[in-house]
Amino acid sequence: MLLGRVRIAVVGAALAALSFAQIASAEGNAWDGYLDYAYVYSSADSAALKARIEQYGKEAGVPLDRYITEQFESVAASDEQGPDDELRIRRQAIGYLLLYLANADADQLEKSVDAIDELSEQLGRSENHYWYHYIHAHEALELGREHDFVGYVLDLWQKVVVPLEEPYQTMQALSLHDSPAAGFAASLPYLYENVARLILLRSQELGIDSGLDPLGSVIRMLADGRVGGHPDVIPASASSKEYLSRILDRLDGAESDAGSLTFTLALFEAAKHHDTARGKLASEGLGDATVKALQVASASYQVALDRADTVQGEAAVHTRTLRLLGEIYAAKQRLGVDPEINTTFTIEDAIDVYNRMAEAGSEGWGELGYTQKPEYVLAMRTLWEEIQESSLNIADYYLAKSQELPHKADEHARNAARLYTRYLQLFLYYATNEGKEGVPDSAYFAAHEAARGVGDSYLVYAKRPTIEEVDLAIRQYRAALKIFPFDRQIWPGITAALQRQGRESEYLSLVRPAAEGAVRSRALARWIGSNEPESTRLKTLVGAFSDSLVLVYLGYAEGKGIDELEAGLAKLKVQRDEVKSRLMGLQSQLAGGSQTAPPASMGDDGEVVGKVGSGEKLDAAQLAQLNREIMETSALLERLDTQIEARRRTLPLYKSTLETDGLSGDLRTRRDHPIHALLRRMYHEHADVDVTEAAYEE
Amino acid sequence: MTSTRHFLALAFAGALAGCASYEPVPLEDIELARVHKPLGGETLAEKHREMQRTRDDIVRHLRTLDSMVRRDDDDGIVVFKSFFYGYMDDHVEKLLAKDWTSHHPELAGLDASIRFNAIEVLAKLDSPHRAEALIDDVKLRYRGRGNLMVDYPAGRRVNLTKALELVEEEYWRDDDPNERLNADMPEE
Repeated sequence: MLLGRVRIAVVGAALAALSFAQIASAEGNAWDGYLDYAYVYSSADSAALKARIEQYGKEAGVPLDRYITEQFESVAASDEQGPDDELRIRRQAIGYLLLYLANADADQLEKSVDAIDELSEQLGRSENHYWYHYIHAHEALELGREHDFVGYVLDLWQKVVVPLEEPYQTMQALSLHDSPAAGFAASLPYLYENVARLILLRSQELGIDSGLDPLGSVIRMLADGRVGGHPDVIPASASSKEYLSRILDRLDGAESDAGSLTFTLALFEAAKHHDTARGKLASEGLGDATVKALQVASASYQVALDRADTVQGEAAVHTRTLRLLGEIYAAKQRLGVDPEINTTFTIEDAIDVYNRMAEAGSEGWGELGYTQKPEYVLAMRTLWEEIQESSLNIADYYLAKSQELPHKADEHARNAARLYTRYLQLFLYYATNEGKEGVPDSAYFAAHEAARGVGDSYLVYAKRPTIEEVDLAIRQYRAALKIFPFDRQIWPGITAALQRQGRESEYLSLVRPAAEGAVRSRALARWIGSNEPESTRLKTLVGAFSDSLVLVYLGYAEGKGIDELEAGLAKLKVQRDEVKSRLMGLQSQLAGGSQTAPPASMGDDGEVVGKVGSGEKLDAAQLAQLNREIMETSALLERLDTQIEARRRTLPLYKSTLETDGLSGDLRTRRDHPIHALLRRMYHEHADVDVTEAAYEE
Repeated sequence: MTSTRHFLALAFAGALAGCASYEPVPLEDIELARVHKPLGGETLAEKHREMQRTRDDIVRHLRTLDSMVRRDDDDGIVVFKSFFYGYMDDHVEKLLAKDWTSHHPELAGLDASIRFNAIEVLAKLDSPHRAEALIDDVKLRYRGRGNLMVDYPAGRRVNLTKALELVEEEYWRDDDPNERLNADMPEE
């Protein structure tokens, strides 16, 4: 898109050149004018330039190559050059250069160099000086001589651009800068554009990937209002301004390699290849062309990594390659295809870079290449996020594979568990008071996901987990619950795992600490008290966690609908009414028996039978039996009352927790969700969080 | 680094010697400069813009050089040094050659800032003679004007006395700063 706009700019500029050319060529061939003003359009991409040259050829009535042959090659150079010779030689050199740029014909470039070299003693004229260095810079690029290229561009800047800047400003102040009479000074905005494109685009097209760093100065100067700073000449939106500022942002930002332009351009090129691969992935799936594009992107990142001199640069590359890796696995999982894609980057390499960044710490971060500490911290957190996301994505891929290939379910489930475990190890090592600075907020929820993922790997996906694996899964579920207790799905997961081991009775003792942790959390209380995001949902859950019966519901009632649970309560109430009625009958019988006649016995349906009300007296045995029945019925009634009261209290609470579903999904899809910050605070609030113990007692 | 310190020590020593044997600018040159001294209007504005652009560009050069130094890019530094020498010869020294820019109330701060930033680049390029010349020049031009505000280091405003002190601290920290500073400081 950006390159497209640059192309448009060149076309626009070329139209402007047309009017100049018409003026210039009033007394000669139109090509004279087009060549004199070639600085306007010469840095267009080859296709646009070719089309432009063909169009000019039609307008001039002769194509450029023939014009050069007729006008220049047939003219024998005289011993002493006059003013006309100088102009002729310059036009000739420019003509060859245009043919080279339009057709990628290196022979034309050679001719251009030979021609412009004839003016090597006449560089006092800015125009000669410009074309001399510009043509030689192209030659250096073509020959892959990066140091020569840098030298020519720096000379061009110093000998041509700098001396023209003040005259141009003066003429601009007098509104004379766009007058043809202003001379070569009027070309300055185009020279800025051309130098920018030469460094940023042309050097990369020709594969220059080293030694460009001294040109960082030129890039910084161009970006400061020089390119795009003359909208009356070249519209800012149509210049390479945006492209340039993106490069500068990288050059001076967190994704740099201590300010290396070579590295910045290499990484930028790799990112362009990455974008191309993404586009193919979206439009064509994981076909051959996409696989090829992904491998090109990976190879380009490897070039950038090879150019990195500092840990800062390595971190920038790994951050992006992990994104690529995660995208590949996500696509494989989503599309259900599994082509072989060779990449040289691994999560282990990225973790190694992270470790080196963390080791530098507050004292040594400057030695890694960063100039500001916030950039260092941001880079660490960004790299971490990519490590966590690629770990989770690839683990997800293996879980999907375990379902897809039942005969390999155990193998893939264990691969997933290993990935989750590696992330958890990283988390546990750095999520401490000393190491947490480089850990992003989203890392805590990711740790919950990873811990839960270990549990799921062994208990949901593996077909034949070992006893140790089941035990580890249960402990990981508990760890996941402690980090993020608001995931309703994990509670029944724990009960299922316990049932598998015949340890259902341990449920409450396992989950209660996590629930109590949430209830006691000051950070959570403050969050809810301050009415921070999701307070309502969290308040409901915290209220539920304080009731053990709700915890039981959370673990065991997940499969049942709330209607079924409410129907059970209604049935209980009916049962209670019956028992109460029976009790009253028994009590009445006892009262009658002591005064008139006691009940003899109760039938199966609870109806009092005997001689109640007949006036007969109960003997001692009958009285004892009646008392025992009254006692038992009273106890049953009390139990029913307790059950009804408990259900009456907890069912609404449990019902309300059903409405909190979805928080996990929200956090999974949004790394910037505010609840991530809350989880971080809650985690560090409890220094005694036994996630370590729970997760890694193996 | 050691060599940088040594050459800068020499530079300061040179500056000291320069103070003692300083030959003033010929009177006719000063008078000529004053005749052409723009007091305001577009000419002054242009000069201001040009000096500001030059100062900003030197800061960009400094940033680029810092980057190469951090990465031990010796080849790049060699290429850059050649460029910066040319830039100083062809542009900066010509821009600051006249006496009036260092006396004009609207330009003096910029003039001094350019010199300080150039000293910094030259110091990092390990260029003793050029740095020495600039330090000499600053001390002589700004004699008695230690309170003039300058941008040094880039992005920070300090008075000229402090700027010289900072230059000393940054590049001569192994020497005895107090003794030399007292001797070298411009008179207030």
